[in-house]
Amino acid sequence: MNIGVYFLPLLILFILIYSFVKKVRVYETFIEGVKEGFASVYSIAPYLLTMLFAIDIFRKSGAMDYFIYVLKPMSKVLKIPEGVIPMILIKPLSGSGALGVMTDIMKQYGVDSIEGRIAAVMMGSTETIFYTISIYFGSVNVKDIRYSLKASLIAHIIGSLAAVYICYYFFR
Amino acid sequence: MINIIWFVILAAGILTFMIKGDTRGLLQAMSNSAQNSIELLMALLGIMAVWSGIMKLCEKSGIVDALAKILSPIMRILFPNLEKRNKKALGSIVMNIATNMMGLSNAATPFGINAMKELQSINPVKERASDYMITFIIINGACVQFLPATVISIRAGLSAKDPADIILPTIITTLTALISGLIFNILYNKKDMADK
Repeated sequence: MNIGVYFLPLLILFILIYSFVKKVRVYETFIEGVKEGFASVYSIAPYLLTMLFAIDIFRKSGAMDYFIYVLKPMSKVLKIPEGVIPMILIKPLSGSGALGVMTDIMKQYGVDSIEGRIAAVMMGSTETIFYTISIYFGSVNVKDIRYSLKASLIAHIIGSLAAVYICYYFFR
Repeated sequence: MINIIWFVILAAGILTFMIKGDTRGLLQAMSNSAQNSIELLMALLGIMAVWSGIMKLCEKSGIVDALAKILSPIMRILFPNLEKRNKKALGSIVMNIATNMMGLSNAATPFGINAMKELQSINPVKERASDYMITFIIINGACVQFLPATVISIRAGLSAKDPADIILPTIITTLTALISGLIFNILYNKKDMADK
């Protein structure tokens, strides 16, 4: 994947040059963004720590192994590495939770392992459906959400499976 | 929901430790976990800040707006007749998706809520989700992100060889989820119509 290596540097260079040409005050704007970045890490920090705390206890105690053991037949049939199952289950429910689970998987299996990469792709590819639906429909007081949850969940499942197989294709 | 999950995970973990009689292991796991999280967050703090700086440039330079312009024709197909019925709604939807694509999810939510409000104003049955709303929710739920900045930052924080090598697989995966979501949207919509 040689092209992939240049994608990001080129993109950043493009953004920088484009902004400069458009007479954006690049230095001040970047600082503004950095402030927001600090703020966003600050705001996710408690969630990440809290979720990782529970997951760590769950894993270190051996409870995670039992949990995975129960789901093993399903993951075997679908060829999903058992380590990423928690990620599939938590992603639709909670973004910060998923972030914690993803980080845990990367630490456990290695950041460049197939498990770690699948978790990363899953993290970046689907939204926290339950959260979005409750916020968006809640904001306009819609009570009958019809088939929106069903369709979103099916998309999530297909997306999760796609993440697994696409990572197999790219990273093995 | 997340309340229950967190409670079950933690309680199950503590119970398993206790059943095994490994109380020291529990205390060790507790302090290790907290310490590791802080180390990770420190690594994340720096990288996230840099990415957010780059994102801010995208916002200010009009790259997000340009992306919105490119998306418009596609959105017109996905939301037929919406432009005639409520132009503001389509505008908010496009901006929501454009900001989401750049990974600016904090900026995306206000646009999303705005879009829902505008869609509600042309919704014949206020308590019931309109077709437009559902399509919007589904697209939102499988939103293509060009730069999953948080994921890249964490990967870099854990010293991955090439933190950004998940970009292309992520984009392909999202497109797969998006397309299947839209297909099921159409199928369910047809079924809904037939039931009536």
